[in-house]
Order: sequence, then structure tokens, then C-alpha cells
Amino acid sequence: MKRFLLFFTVFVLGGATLFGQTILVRGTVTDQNSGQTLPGVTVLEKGTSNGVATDPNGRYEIRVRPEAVLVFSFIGMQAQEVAVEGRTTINVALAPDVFSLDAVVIVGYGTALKRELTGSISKVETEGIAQMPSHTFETAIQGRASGVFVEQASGKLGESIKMRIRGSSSISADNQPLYVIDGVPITTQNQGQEFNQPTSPLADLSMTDIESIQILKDASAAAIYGSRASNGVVIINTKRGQTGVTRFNVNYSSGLSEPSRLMEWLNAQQYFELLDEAMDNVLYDGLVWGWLPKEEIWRRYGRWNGVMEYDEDWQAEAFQKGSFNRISFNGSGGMGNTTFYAGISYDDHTGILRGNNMNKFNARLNLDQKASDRFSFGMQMSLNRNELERVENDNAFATPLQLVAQSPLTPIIDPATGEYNTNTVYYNGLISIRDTYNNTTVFRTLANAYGAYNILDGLTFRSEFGTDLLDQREKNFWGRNTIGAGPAGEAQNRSVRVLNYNWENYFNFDKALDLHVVNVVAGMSYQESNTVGNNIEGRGFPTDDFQNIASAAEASSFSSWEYGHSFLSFFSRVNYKFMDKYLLSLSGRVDGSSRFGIDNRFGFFPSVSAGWILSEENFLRGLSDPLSFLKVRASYGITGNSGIPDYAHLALFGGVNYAGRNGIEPIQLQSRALGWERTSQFNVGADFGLFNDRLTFEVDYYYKYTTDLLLYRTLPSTSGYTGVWSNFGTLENKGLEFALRSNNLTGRFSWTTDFNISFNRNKILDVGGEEITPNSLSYVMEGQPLGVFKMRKYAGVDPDNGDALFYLNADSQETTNDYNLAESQVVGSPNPDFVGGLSNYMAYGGFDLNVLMSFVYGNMIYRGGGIYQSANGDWFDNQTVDQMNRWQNPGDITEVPQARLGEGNGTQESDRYLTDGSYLRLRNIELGYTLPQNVLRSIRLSGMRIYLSVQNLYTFTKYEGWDPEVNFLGTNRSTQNQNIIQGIDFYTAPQARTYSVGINFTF
Amino acid sequence: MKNIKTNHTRGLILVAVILSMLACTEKLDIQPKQSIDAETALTSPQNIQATLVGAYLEARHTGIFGSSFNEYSELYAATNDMQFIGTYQQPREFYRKQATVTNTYVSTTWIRAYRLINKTNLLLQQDVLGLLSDSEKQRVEGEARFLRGWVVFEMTRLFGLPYEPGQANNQPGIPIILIPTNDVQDATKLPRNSVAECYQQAIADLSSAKDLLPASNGVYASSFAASAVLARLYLQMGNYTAAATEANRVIEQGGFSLTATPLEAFNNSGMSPEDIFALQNNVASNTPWLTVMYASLNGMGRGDYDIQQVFIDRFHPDDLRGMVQTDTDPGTTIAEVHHMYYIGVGTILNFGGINTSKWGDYYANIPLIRLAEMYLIRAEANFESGTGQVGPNTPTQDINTIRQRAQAPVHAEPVTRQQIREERYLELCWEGHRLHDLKRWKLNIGDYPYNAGNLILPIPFREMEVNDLMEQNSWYTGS
Repeated sequence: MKRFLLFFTVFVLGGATLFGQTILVRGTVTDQNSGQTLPGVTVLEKGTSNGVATDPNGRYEIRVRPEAVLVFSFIGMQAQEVAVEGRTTINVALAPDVFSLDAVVIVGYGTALKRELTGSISKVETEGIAQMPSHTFETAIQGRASGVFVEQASGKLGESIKMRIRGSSSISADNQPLYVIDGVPITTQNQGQEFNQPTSPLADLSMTDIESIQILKDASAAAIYGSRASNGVVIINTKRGQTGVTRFNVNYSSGLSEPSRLMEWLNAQQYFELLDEAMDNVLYDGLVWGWLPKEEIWRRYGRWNGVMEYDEDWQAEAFQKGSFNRISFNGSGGMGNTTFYAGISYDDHTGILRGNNMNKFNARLNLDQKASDRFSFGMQMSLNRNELERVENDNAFATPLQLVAQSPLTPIIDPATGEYNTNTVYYNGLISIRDTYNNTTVFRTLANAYGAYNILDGLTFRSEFGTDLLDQREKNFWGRNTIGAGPAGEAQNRSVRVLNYNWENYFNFDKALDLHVVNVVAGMSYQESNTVGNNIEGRGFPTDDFQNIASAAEASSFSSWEYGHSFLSFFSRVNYKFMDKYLLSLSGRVDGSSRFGIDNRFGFFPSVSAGWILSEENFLRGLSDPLSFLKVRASYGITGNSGIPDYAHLALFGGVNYAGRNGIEPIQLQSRALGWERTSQFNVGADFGLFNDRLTFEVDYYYKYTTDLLLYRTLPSTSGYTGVWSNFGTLENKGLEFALRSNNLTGRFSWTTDFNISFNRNKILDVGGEEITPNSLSYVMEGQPLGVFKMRKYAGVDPDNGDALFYLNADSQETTNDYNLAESQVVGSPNPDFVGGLSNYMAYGGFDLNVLMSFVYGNMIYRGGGIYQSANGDWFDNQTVDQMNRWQNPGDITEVPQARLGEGNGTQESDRYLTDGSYLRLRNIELGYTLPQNVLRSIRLSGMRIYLSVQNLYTFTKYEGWDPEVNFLGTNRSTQNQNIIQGIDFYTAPQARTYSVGINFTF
Repeated sequence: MKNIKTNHTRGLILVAVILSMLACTEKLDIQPKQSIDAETALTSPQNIQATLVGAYLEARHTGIFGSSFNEYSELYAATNDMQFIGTYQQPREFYRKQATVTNTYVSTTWIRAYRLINKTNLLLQQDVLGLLSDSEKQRVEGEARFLRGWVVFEMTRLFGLPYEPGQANNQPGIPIILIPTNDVQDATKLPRNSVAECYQQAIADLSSAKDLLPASNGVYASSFAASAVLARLYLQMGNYTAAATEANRVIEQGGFSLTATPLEAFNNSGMSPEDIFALQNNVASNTPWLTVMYASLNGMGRGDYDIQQVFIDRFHPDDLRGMVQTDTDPGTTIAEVHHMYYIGVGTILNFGGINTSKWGDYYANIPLIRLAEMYLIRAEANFESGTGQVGPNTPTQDINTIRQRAQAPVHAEPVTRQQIREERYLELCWEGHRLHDLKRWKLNIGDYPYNAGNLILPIPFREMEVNDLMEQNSWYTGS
């Protein structure tokens, strides 16, 4: 219809100019990033109503005056103006513009124009996601959205990623955002076994099918998802077809990866020097500790015979040459009343850690059908298979990076047997790499069907049913020579199935009357999630060749589990716009959750927001150059959190087994009144457009106040219980966000800069005065941010005798060499002062260059492995090279105490191992070349782009460990521990640096 | 036109149908599938019996009887007889006699001990016991009292300063809690009771258990098990007559017998004839931690407790309890070990050091009270009491019974105090007795006097944080 109108315009109005001096201009409009041609782009002669739209191949023809200026515009793209200057062929590449004020933003249960938003929503650039050599899509958000802090716990594949939107709003309940894909809130909880790091169910999904990612940050945006919206909502929509010819896209990329940073360890000579000295310093009567001669200590504990034969680099053994391959193929289009998108992709990642690999296959079909003028329906469905080969958790001798603890004096391969050396300082983890497998396979089906019925003009009813079926199998085997699996091997089979379904029904009403525009959404949703699983472990296998439990001599463990929860919700939102400049939005949602006590099941989550487009006012019209747009907005609302275990409110007994008999035991106390955790959030912000929107920026200030914290409140354990779920306590987050886009240059050479920076301050206000700590390092304390580090403060080395010194207490400079006398004190916070990103996009001719940097500033990292790795030769663990600066003679000024074997001179947990974790990372650099249209036509393609990229090329940081982007949760990974324990490194793998090349065709 | 209208009507009906199906609030009643409501848990005899099984499981937890009680004693008592060579910081702290209030071993012990106490308190409610037949009731009550009394005793001697015979013993012990926590309101803050009160409570529970329990009770606590713990407790109090009487009852009436060799008393999958009470391990349900810490065999154990030659040298060359097997290799399992000690194979840590064979199998039972201990108690108690011999044997005869089994030369009448004490050391080493024996004998541990403040555990940090009535042991407050 629109196109018809345009033709009509051209025919009737454009006809008039036929008699003037006009020329025929032709050309093709493409997408600057993908090189794909764009159908439906409006081409308008500036200052007239003379215009056309591009055809399905992106081509256009328009008759204009030779001195005319053409304006090319398309939804979601930056408009571009080109002076004709007498040319008859003008090809234009449009740059996508997620920041454009006319960009369409997906909000809960609908869409909105960015210029009319009253809440705070970040739309993330998704253009490059399909070719990012990453294993999970959250990395695509890193550094690209203000107010969003994304942290990869380690460089291991498939493991979970922390995302915090505007800080942490809970202590014991979940702080991860709600993820909604095509309208379905999906399963995001780790389903893997407890003794390994959590895996991420988000890694199962394809990166290539993603059309848009938006992040709802403030209460007004998120309250429509009331329950679980306290941590923000990430809305992801997948690609849909458009009516027109069928277009195919093929993308292939391939790359190599390596660890982005390495640590420096002692070589054999240095190691010998340090350890021998460490023994010399503890000789009594010529014997080490007055016990054994040095040679015997070397033999027993250093596993060394005194002959300097080897100088092994154990760190290198932990890594392998990583690689990455992705191929994707998709087609989209539509005829008549049907549109479709179909895509398949295959990813193959070889991780940088030995034994860590992942491959996944994803297929998707999205179909939309208009059955009549009033009724349309459709379905989106994807099948995903993700196969992950894992390594052991960071706290296991068998994990690759713990190989660094081995002595460079001991050979990796035993020369006598030609096999991995078993006579090493610690268990040789290479044996596990050889004789263990640890495979997790996930089959995941996301399916969503909808029907929309147009009851009256402006009134639509929509019903959507979505499911997320996750089926995970783990198959593990430990050979007889691996640690803990002797004498005859162990195997494990574990499976979990999570069925999560969601049914939503809602009305949408639009009405415009003169200057009043109203949009109303009202409806309900029901969501239920059920998990069933079982686990069996067997031990005793005839040989290592038999690896199935069927061959096990005995079952060593067997269990099963089953649990579930549900949500029932009713919601409504009213948007009102007056004179295109006054905006008002009200929303409310009532949520009930099975997780709460019967009296407090339902929570009401309202929000109100308003916006005022000042630039539409007459008094600012005069300023329209440069101030092309100005909107101020404010919102206030309440959101909830129910991210606690199922049945947390019930008093329960569970089953146990002792001496071949079944027993039961109390597990938890009742919490009858358990209800929703509530976060009220105030947001005020402004959006600016300058120089005809070439420079746009937005700034937001927010204050989030969380009450009725879902706190696993500590009880005196003399009661037989360590805690109980309760609604107790308060905390706050406040912050400032700033995002800017500048089209520095437009035209043949274009250059766009995006910059964002976010400041968040988290503070625990009330937890009843007590301190909570899961590990005696990270604390919850009133007046401090979540996870603040509290430990002994290291005061360096006594120059007189080489003793490690600690500050006696927080208020004095007095020191002591007695660790126990030193007071534990607050020494830093793992929460950054600010985070952000800077991206620059440049295009010239067919070339484009994209450089993304992200930064984190002001957070501290505790290197948990430091007490072993940088312990001035306290034990036979290989040491970091800086330990060679140890104190040796009276008067030496150094930070490294005297080497004393086994005497713990300064090797206790202290802020000696706490360092600044700030970093600036060159996260992604991509250089692309798009072939010109005339070349493409000759090879019958409509688009082709080749590209080179580097991920994590360099990281600027003072951090002493492998990687400042790190978090090791320890072995008890309750949600509370996951929230509190931040910024801890424990033999944690660095991120990969990946170099890749790719090619993309459209035809 | 008609057609369109029909379509429209159909559409509206569809909308109406869907709206009428709006899920009801019952959908929010999702009940757990793998656990039962606490209110129904203790309402049937079956469930009560099952809860008792759960209490034994708790007793076996690593943090209490399953391992830590043993480890605290051996690590604190260690001087030159054992070298702790492990990398774990928590046990190293005890070995250095410098524990910290945040030591996770200690908090686990505290939590698990009180979980056990709460489980026994749940069983000891009159309305719960009332659901059982008379014989069942006696047994359940007896077993619950046995477990409660014993754990109170063990906790008191770890967290409180030593019991001083003839003194008031007002030094703080642990809070005595006899009321179950059925609701969060019951989780009240309580101060520590005195050591005297704790011993009284333990005696009351164990004496009552002794009366209630049958003479034989499978792998569970019997009347003799209660007597055996009482014997140990009275000995700790210096109440020698009572100790000798209880030990004598076990020896003479219990029907237990010493195994043929000392090593046969360990690493068993069933009850050995010597076991008065043993924690039960099997492949499907076990507490392997003692083996993890003490063993260094093929795939089993770190061997963190490196036994020193100076200790081995205390044994007579013929004494089976002091033999060291040297032909071990990385493939050696406990089945191939036939001496009480062996050279560690170093799969994980201990390579070339000496390890005890007492704890060599993750899946074998953990003997907590053996008949040998009763002979040693009777010998010592009779020797010390000065009020006449209890039982048929002289202290020398009792000591020689133990030595003969070990093929060690017997002592001539009469044994000396030193010989009795030495025998205890040689027989019961690495079983968690040494610290308490040294305190009982008021002997120094290294440079520390027996009642030094750093030889008792701190009240865990988490407990101090949440209970302002809790008093910290003074050494840990720097005073």
C-alpha cells in the first residue's frame, strides 16, 4: 500500500517536473554492514514530495533535477543525504542506526519508537553478532549498552556469564536479568552438576538468528514484567521474513585462538635457587625443620633427585591451539500473506584450554501468516544442540591451569615409561586430560506460536503459547589412573529435563483522537517450569576401555530429583501521548508465584512515567539548530524478585541413606510469610539530538531501593539450621549512565562513534547488623557494597629480618608479624566504579572498520591462588617470577618476605593478593570489504562481504593474574554465594584472543 | 458479508474461550515431589525410624564423628610424631595450634553437631515417642539420647577448657539445647552452659541410653556402646571408679572380642568383633574424609598426615602396630597393605612418607569405639583410682592383653603409669584420642600447657555474628 502511494505520488506529482530539466538517477541501496541490498528504502528528492521506494533487489530509479539532493531513509537505518551533482548512478550504503530516535524498540508486549519512550531502554547493536567468534551471545552486549555490566567468569567455553543491570539488587535471590526470547521467558539457571562451574543455558542459542536485543532497565520499562524485573529484562527477538523475493545469506567464518594473557613463572634455575634458599632458611641442626636433610625433602616433596635435567614449561601444557569455525545459512522472504525466516548454523569451538571444546547446531524456522484481514498467526521454532567437552573445576588438581603449580625441575613425560610423569609435586593433571571425559550435551527446543485477532479497528487480541524444552545429558568418565578414580575408574551419567512453558493472552488497543494518542495493553500470563533429573555413578571397570556404567562393578551413587514453580500474572499498561510532545505511561502487574507462602503469593508492581519532548515546543523551536531534539523523562515504579529456590517457604524433610537403610532428615524451616522482594526505582533522564541528530546522547540518573530482601537470614546454628528464607533488609543502588552516538563524518567516508559509561554505587543498608561471608574474604556488611573485601592488611616486609608484616588494626600504622593478631579490615570492593565501552565505526568505499573497546575501572580482584603461586617459596608450587625479589639480607627493601619452606611467612590470605582489576580491553576489531554492486551483478550475487577480525587483541591492566575479567565462585554455589563472591580468581582461565576471517554472501 | 460476519463471530468466540480458560490460582499450588512436609514427617512410626537413620547419617558427617573430631585431636596433639604436609589451610591451623575464628572446619563442626542435636531433640519429643510401641520407643529414645549425649561430650572437650576434677568447672562449654526447632521462632539465641553442666547433660543422656538400649542393636547403638562412651567420659573427668565400672561392663558382658591382629580392626565393611560402635560406610553412602587425609594409596588419599620415624621408633621391633610396609607402588590399594604403616605412594601428595593403614578405604566403616580402648580405660582407671580393682584383671593384665594381640613383649607386673599411658598412645594413635589424653594427664603439648587457650577451638565467626549471647573463647579475643 505504501509503495502504491509512492508510485502514485511519483506519477501524479512527479509528472509536473517531467517538463523541467530532469535526469534519471539509478542505483542500489545496500546495508553498509552486511552488504545486503535493501528493499523498501524511501528515496526522496529533498524539499519536494518526489519520491520512490527501492524494489526487492534494492534498486531504484528516480527522475530529479541535476542539482537535487536525495534523501535515503529506512526504518532502523541512519538517513543519508546525497547531492546528485549531475550523476546518473548513485549507489548508497546505509548504516544501521540503533540509536536513531526513530528506531523501533521492542518493549514488553509491544513496540515503541525510541523518541517516544518514557522509560530507560538500551537497544544493542546486533549487526555484527552473527560473525562474532564467541560462544554465547551475551558477550555481544559487553561494552555496548550503558548500565549493563557483563562479566565472563573465565575463558572456559559454555560457562555462565554474569550480567548485572544497574547493580545487584538482592543478596540471596537471583541477580541475573530476566531473558525473554520471542516473548518466552527462558530457562537461564545452570543445570550442570554441582562440582563443576555453572554452565550457561544461554550458550545453547544461536548467535546468527538474533534480530534485536533490548534491555529494559528502569521500573517503567520493566514493570510490565513485574515479577523478576528487578534485575532488568533482556528482550531478544529473532529474525522474521519480509514480503518480497526470497533472499539467502551464507556466512562462513573461521579463526584461531590463543590465551589473551599468560603469567610468568620461574624457570628451573630460578626455581631451584628460590626453593633451595627457602630450605636453607629453615635448617635447624643442618636438617630442614630439624627433621630431614634437604636432599630428602627435595626427593619427597619436590619430587626431584638433585640432577638438573629438565626445565619444563607446565603453563604451556594447559593450553591448546584454539580454533573457531561457524557456518550459517539462512533464507527469508514471503509471498502474499506468508512470510518466513529459516536458518541453520553450525559452530565449532576448540577452546584454549586442553580438553575444552564445544560445538553447536542450531536450526530455526519463523513463519507468519495473515489468514484474513482480521486474523494472523505464526510460529517461531528453533532446535538447538550444544555439545560441550568440559574440564574440571578451577579448584581441582585435574583442571588444566593447576598444572602451573608443578615444578619446572620435574619432567612432564616420565622418560622411563614415555607416559605422563606420575612422580610430580602434585597430581599430574595431564593424566586427567588424557583419561577423562566430561561431556555435556544439551538439546533445546524453543517454540512459540501465536494468533492475533483484530476485533475492532484498533483493538487486537493476541494469544501466545511458548515453550522452552531443555534436555541435558552429562556423561563423564574418569580412568583408573586419574585422581580419586582408582583403583578401577569411575563413570557418571546424569540427565536433566526442564520444561518451561508460558501462555500469554492480551488485548492491545490503539486510538488516536485529534491530538490524543492512546495505547492500552491488558492481559494475563501463566508460566510454569518443571525440572526432572536423575544421576547415576558407578565405579570399578574391567579396563579403561569400558566406560559405560553398564560395565561398572557397583553403583556408587544414584539419585533423582523433581521440582517446579509457576507464575500467574495479570498486567496492563496505558500509554498516552498528547500533541506529540507530552507522554505519559502507566503500568501495573499483579504476579503470583508458587514460591511464596500462601498469604503473600501475590504482589502488585505498578509504575508511572512521563516524558516531555521539549524540542517540539515553540520556545525551543528557535534553537532547533543545533538542538534538534530534546526530551526529558522521569519514571518511578516497583518491580519484584522471586529468584529463590522452589519451595523455599515450606518446612521440609528430605530422604537420605545410611548403612543401607533409608532415612529422612529436616532440610529447611517454614517461612509462612515469605513474599516478594521489592525494588522501587526512580529514574530521570534526558535525550538530546544535536545538529540534526548527528550527535545524539542520553543521560540517566537512577535510584533503586530494595526492601523486603529475600535474604537467607543467618540463624544461630545451635537451632540445627543455618538460616531461613525471609523478607528482611534493605539495600540501594544509585547510578548515572551516559550514552552517546556521534556521526562524525557522513557521506563517502563515514565515521560513527558510540560511547557509553555507567556509574553504579551499591550499598547494603540493613541486614540486621550482622556480617555475612561465604569465604571469609567477601562480605555483606551494612554501609558497604555487596561482596566487599575484608581481610588482613599486608604491611610489607620487615627490612631487618624478612618477616611478613600486617597492620594491627584499621586505625593504626602499627604492624605485627603475627597474622592472628592483625585485625581483619575492609580493604576494597570488587564492584567497579564505572564500566563502559567505546566503539568506532568507519566506512570508505567498500571498506568498513569497527573497533570496540570496553573498560572496567576501580574494582579489586583477589587472586585466591596467590597463597600458593606467589608465596615466596613457601612450598614446592612453582612461583610467579616476582617472588625472586624476596628479602635476603638485612636492609633489603621489598614486598616479598624471606623464603622459608613451610613456615607460612606472609602466605596467609591478606590483601597482599588483592590488586586493582581495572582494565581496558580491545574487545573486537573488524575490518570488512563489501564488493561493489557492478562486480556482484556479474557474479549474480546481491551482496558479498569479506572480513577479518580480532577479539581481545590486547588488554591494558595492572592485574597480576591471567585475566582481570574473572570470577571463581568456589565450591558452594548457592545463589547467595554467586551474588556475594565477586572478583575472585583461582587458577581461572583467561579469555581467548581470536583471529578470524569470514565471508558473507547474499543472493 | 455474511461470511465475514461469521468469521468475526468465530473469532470473538475464540477470544471468549481463551479468556474463560484464564488459569486459576490453584495453579500456584505446586507441591514438592522429593521431600515431605515437616508436619507429616514425624507422625508415623516409619517416619520416626527414618528420622533416626537420618540422625546417624548426621553423626557420620565429616564435620563431627566422621572425621573432624579425630583430626582436631591428632593435629592439635601433634608435635614431632606427625608432620602435617597438606596444602589445606584449615587443618594446618590446628597443626600450628593457631586456629582462626573463620576456619571452615570449625564452623562445619559447630553446625553439624547442632544439626545432630536438633535431630535427636525432634525424636525425643513426648508426642513423637508416644506414637511408637513400647519396645520401639525405648530403643528410639535410647539411640537419640546416646547420640545427643555423646556429641555434647565431644563438643564440650573441644570448645571448652579442660574439665578439672574436683573443681567447679564453670568455664564455658557449649549451649545445651534440649528443645527441637520446629519453627523459626524456636531458633533462639542461647548462651554457653558451663563445662560442668555439659558433662552433667552428657552423663544424663548416656546413662539413660544405657538403660533404654538393648544389649545388641546391629550396627546401631547398643547399651554397651552407651557404657563405652560413659567410660571414656568418666575417664576424662577423672572419675576412675565409674570409668572402670563402665569399661568392665563392656568387657565382661558385651560379648566383644579383640581381632586376631591390630590391623584387622580397621578397613572392614561389616562390624568387626571388636567394634562397640562404628560408623557405617559403603559405596553408596560414605564419609571418606579420614581416608582422604590419612591415606596415600592408589587413587585414595592425600596422605597429609605424615607419620614420623621417631614415633615408629617407640614400638618394639616385634610389635605389629609399628610395622612399616615398604614395597608399595602407585598401584597399591589397602587390600595389599598388611602392615599398620606403609610408605605413601604419592598419587596426590605424600610420596615416600609414612602413612597409617587405619584409614585406608573410603568405603570401609569407621570404628569409633573399640574393645581395646575399654581394656586401656579399665587398666588406667584401676591403676589411678586407688579404691580397689574393678573386674577380674589387674592393670598389667589388661595392658598385656593388648600387647599380646600386637605380638609385643608383655610387661612385668606391675605396670607403671608411664607404661599404661604409652600403651594408650601406641594402640589408639590416629583415632582422635591423643589431645584429650594429654589434657587429662596435664602434659604440655610442645611449649603449650595442657590448658592453653589456643588448644581449644574458637566459637565460629558466623555464630558470634548472629548470637550476641555467645561468649568467645578468650584466646581468640586476644585477651
